[in-house]
Amino acid sequence: MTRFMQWIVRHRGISVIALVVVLAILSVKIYTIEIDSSAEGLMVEGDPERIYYDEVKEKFGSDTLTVVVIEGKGGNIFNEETLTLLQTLTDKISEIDGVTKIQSLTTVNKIKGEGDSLNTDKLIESVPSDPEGLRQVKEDAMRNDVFLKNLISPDRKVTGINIFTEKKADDKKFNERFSKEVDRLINEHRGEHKAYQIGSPLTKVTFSSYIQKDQSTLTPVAMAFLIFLLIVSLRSATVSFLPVITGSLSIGATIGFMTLMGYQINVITAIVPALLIAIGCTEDIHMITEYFEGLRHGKNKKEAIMYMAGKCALPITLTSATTVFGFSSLAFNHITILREFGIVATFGLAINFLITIIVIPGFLQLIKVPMIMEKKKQNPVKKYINVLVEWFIVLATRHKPTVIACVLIVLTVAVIGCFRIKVDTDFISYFKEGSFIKQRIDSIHRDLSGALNFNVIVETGKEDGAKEPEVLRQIAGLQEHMDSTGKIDKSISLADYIKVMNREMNGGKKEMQVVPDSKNLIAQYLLLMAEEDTKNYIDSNYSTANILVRHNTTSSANLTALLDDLKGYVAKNFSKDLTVRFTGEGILINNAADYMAVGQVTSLGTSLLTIFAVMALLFMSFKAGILAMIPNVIPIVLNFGIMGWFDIPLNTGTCMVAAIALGIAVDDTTHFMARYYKELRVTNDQKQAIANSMRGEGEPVLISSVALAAGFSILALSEFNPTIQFGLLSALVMLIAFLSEMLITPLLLGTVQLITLWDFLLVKLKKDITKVSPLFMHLSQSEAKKVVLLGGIRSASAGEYIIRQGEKGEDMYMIITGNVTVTMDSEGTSKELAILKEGDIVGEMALMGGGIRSAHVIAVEDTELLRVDNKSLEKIRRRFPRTAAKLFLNISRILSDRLRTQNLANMGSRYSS
Amino acid sequence: MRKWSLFSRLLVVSIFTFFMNGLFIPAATAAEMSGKEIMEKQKKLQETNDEKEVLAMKLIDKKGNAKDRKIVRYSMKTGAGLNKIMMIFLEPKDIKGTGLLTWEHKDGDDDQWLYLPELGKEKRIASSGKKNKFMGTDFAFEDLRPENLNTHKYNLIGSEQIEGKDCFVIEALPVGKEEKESGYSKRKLWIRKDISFTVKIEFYDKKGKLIKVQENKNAKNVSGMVWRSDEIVMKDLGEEHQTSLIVQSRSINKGMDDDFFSLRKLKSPE
Repeated sequence: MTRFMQWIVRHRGISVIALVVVLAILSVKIYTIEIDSSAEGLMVEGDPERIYYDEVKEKFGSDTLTVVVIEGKGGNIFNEETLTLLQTLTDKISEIDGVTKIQSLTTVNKIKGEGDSLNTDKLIESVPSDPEGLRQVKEDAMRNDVFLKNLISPDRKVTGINIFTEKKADDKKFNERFSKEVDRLINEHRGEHKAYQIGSPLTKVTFSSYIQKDQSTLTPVAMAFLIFLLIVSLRSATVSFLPVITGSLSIGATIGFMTLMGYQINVITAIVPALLIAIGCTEDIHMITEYFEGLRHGKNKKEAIMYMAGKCALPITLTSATTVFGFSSLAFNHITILREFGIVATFGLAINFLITIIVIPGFLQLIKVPMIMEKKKQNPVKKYINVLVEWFIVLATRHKPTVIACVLIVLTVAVIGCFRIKVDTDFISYFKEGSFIKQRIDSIHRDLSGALNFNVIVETGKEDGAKEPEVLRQIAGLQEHMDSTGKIDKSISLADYIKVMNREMNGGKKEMQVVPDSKNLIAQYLLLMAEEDTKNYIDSNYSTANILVRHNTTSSANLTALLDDLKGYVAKNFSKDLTVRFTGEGILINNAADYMAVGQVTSLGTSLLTIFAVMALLFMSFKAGILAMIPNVIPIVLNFGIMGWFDIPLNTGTCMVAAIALGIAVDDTTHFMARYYKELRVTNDQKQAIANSMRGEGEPVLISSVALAAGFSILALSEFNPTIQFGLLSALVMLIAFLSEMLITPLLLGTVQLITLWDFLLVKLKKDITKVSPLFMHLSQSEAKKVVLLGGIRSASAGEYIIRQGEKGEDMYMIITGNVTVTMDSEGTSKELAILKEGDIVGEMALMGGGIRSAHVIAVEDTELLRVDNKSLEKIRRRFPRTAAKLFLNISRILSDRLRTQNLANMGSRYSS
Repeated sequence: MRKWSLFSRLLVVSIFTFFMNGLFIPAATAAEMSGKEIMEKQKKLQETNDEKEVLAMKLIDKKGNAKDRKIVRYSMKTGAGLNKIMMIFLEPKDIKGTGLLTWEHKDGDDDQWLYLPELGKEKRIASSGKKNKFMGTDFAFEDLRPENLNTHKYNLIGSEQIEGKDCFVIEALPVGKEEKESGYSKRKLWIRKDISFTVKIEFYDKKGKLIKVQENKNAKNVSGMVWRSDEIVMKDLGEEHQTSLIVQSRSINKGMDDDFFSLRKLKSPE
C-alpha cells in the first residue's frame, strides 16, 4: 500500500488524469438526479404481499387517500356557505387529472325510506338556502352511518372530501402537482372557512421538500464545521480548503454514481453528502498532519509528501477499508432504501479514499509550502487531554476489577434495554412533533378519522359469494370488533350499506339495521344502490369484499399489535372457507419492520466477521481478531440499550447507527492495536506497551471521536426524526466507543497475551524455526517457544549498524528476515567476513566470551532480528536446564563452525600474503 | 304629441319589420325544417301505442368484466299521450322479479314504483331527479323515457354522415323545470334523414363536458315507418363502463291494456 501511494505521488499526472476521466464518466448524467418521495423504497423488495396489494388496487381502486377537511362556519357545516364551498371544492378537485374517485356530502346518494317510499337521490342535489332545506340535508346526512366520521364529524363541526388518486407510473411530479392544485383551490374558495388537506400525496411532497431542505442545510453546515475543524487543528488556512475540495469531488462523484445506477435521493441517501464530509475529512486531516510533521522534520516539500505517503498509506487504507466494510453490510438489506444507502455510501467512501490519496499529494505539490507555526506552544487543551489519558492509564492498569465490574453492570443494564427496543418503519413518524403534517394528522384523527388507511379483503372464492348473509355478518362482526378495540376510527364495508338499506326498507327501525337473512334480498338491495357507491366494497362478480379501514396508529409496533389482534379475531370467528387478508401501503411499509430487525442482525454479523477477519489477518492472530471485536461490540450493545431505555425506535435511520459506529470505531482499535504491537516489540513489556500506546493514541482517538461526534450531531438539524435520531445516537456512540477504546482495549490487552513473538516468528519465517535456525536445532516446539518468548524483536533498516566492533554487548541475534553483512576493521581496512541470512546467528561471540564485539554487523536491507540476551539465557538455564543444555550445545556448534571457517580464512590470507 | 306619437309608432313598426325581415328570412330559407320540426316528425313516425321487448343486458366494466342480466320491458301510450313503462328483471336468479313501474305525468313529476320480490312489498321511489342511474346500468332513468318535446328546445346545428347515412345533428336543451331536473346540460342527437331514426346520442353534463355516448345499432324496420335498433350501447366515458342492450324479442302494437301497468301486475307480471 505504501508503495502504491508513493507510486501515486510519483506519477501524479497519470493519477490525476485517470481520476478526471473516472469523475467525468461518473458525472455524465449527474443533472438527472431526482428526489424520491415515494414510500416504495421503505417497503421490502420482492415482498409477495406487494403483488397482492397491486391486485387489490386493480380490483377496488387506488387506496391513495387525500382528505380535504373543512370546518363549518360557526361550528356547524350545515349552512349555505359551507355546503357551497364543499360543493365547489368537490367539483373542482374532481377535475384534477389523476383523481380516480371523489366522495363528499355533495356526491353521495341518500338511502332514505319514508313511509312506503324510498329515496335514493343525491344527498344534496343543489345547496339549499332556506333553513328547512338545510335542516333536511342535515337530517339525511346524519341518518346514514356510513357518512359519520367519514364525511362528517358526529358533532357536525367538520366535513371532509375523500379524494382517491392514482398517478401514472412515469409521472414523478404528480404528487406535487396534485397537492399544490388542491391547496390553490382551497385558498381560492375557502373565504373565511378553515380548510386544509392531508393525505399521502401531500405527505410525500412535504417529505421531498424536507429532503431538499436537509440537503441545503446539512451539507453546508457540515462543510463549515469541517473548515472550522481544519483551521483549529491544522492552523493553516491555505490547506484548509483541501478537504473541502476532496469532499465536494466525492459528493459529485457519488451523486453521479447514483444517477448512473438509476437511484434517486431519498430520505436516507440524502445524508450521504454530510456523511462523506464528516467521515471523509478524517483521512485528509491525517494526511495533512503527517505532511506538516514531515516539514517540521526539516524535509523539503517533495520529501515531506513522500514522508506523508509512507506514514499514512497503511493506516488510512485500513481505516477506510473497515469503514467501507461497515457500510457495505447495509448493501445486503432487503429494504430498498437501506440497500441503496449501503451501496451509495460504500461507493462514496471508496471513491473518497481514492480522490483523497490522489488529490491531496497533487495539491500539496502545487501549492507553496504553507506557513506553519513553529513548534506550537504547549496547547492548554493538550494538557487536559494528557491528564485525562493518564487517568485512563491508571484506571485501565491499576483498577482492573473496578472497571470490569462497572462495565459489566452497564452492559447488563444495556442488554436489558435491548429487549425493550421497538422497530418502527412508519412513514408519519418521520415528521417532527409540531410539524404541520403532524398537526393535521392529529386534527383529522380528532375530528373525523385518521388519515391512515388499510384494506381488509375477504375472498369467498366463488361468484356471488360475498352476497351471502353469512359472509356479510362475519364482516360486520369484524367491524364491530374493530370498533371495540378503540384503535380504529372508522371502517366501511358493503355490510354497512346493506344494513342501512334494510333499515330504511323496513320503516327506518333501528333494530332492522342488520344484515338480512336472504341472499336474494341482498342482491336486490345491491341493484338499488349506485355502483359508484359500492364498487370499492365489492368486486364486479361479487366474490370478494373489501373493508376500508381508517386509523391513526402510526407506530409499527402498535400497528402490528393491532393487526395481530384483528387476525386473531378472524382466525377465531371467520369460517374456514373465507380467505381474509390485510393489505395497503401502510401495511407493506410495516412489513419492512420485521426485515429491518433481521437485516440489522445480519448486517452487524457481517461487519463483526469482517472486522474479526481483518484484525486476525493484520495481527496474525485469532485472539487479536476476537480482542478487536470486544471494544467495538460494547458501544453497539450500549447503543441498543440506550435506544431501548429511551424509547428510540429502530427505524430506517437508527438501524444504521450500529453498523456505521462499528465501521468507524474499529478505526480506533486498529490504530491502538497497531501501536501496541509496535510498542510491545520495542519494550517487550506489556504494561509499558499499553501505557505507551494509550499516551500515543489517546489524543488522536479522543480528537477524532469528538470530531466525529460533532459531525454527526450536525444531523440534528434535519427535518426528519430518523435522521435526527441517527445523528445524535451516532454522536453518542462515538463517545462511548472512545471510552470503550481507552478502557476496555488496554484492559483486554493487559489481561491477554495477545501477540507473542512466537506467533510472529511462525508467520515471518513461514517454516518451523527448529528447521530453519541452527540455534534451535533439536529443540522441541515448546522448548523453542520458551526461548523465543524471552527474546525481543529488533528491526534495522538498510545500512544500519546492528553491532559495532569493539563495543560491549551482551546479546545475540537470530535473523528473521533480511540479510546482514559481517565486516571486520583491521589495520585501517575493512574486510567482509560473511553475509548472513534468515535463521543465522550473529553476536554469539560476545555473549559467550568477554562481551567485546569482534566485528561489525550491518543490515544489507531492512532486517528484523530476534534478540536473546544473557539474562534470558540465564533464566532458561535455571528454569529449564534440559532446554538450556540443547541450546548451549547448538551455540557451541555454531561457534566452532565459525572458528573453523575463520581459521581457514586466516590461513588462506596468511599464505597469500 | 299625438302626431309625434303616431309618427314614432310608425317608425318603430317599420324599423322592427325591417329587422325582423332581416333576421327571419335568411333562417327560413336556409333550413327546410327546424330542429323542433325534425323531432316532431320523428315522434309522429316512430311512436307506437305499445311495445314489449325482451332485452339481454350486458354490463362491462373498464377491465372487461361482464355481468349478464335479462329484462323485459313493456311500454304503452295512454289516451292522454303519456307513457307508462314497466321493466322487470328475468335474470339472474337472485334478482328475478325485481321490477320498476313508471307512470309519466304531464308536469314531469312521474310516479315510480319499485318492487323487490324478496321483500314482498313495493316501494314508491321518491325521486325528484331523473338522473339516477338505472339499477347498475349506464342508463339514467331519463334516458329510458321517450323524448319529451315539451320540455326541451331543439336546435338543428348541422348535418353529418354516420356509417354512410346522412343525419341531422340536433342539439337538445332542457328548458324550464327540466333544466333543473335533468342531469344534462345538453344532448346531441344524430337523426337519420331518410328514416327519422336516432342513431347516436351524446350526453353532456351540467358543466358542458361530454360524459356518455349512446349508439343505436342495427336499425330495423319493425312495422310501417317504425324503426328500432337491435343493439343499443351506452358508454359512460368517465367510469369507462358500458351497458349494451340486445333485443331478443319484440312485439309492437299488439294492444296492451292500461290495467297491465299496475302495481298488481308489477308484483306478478305473468
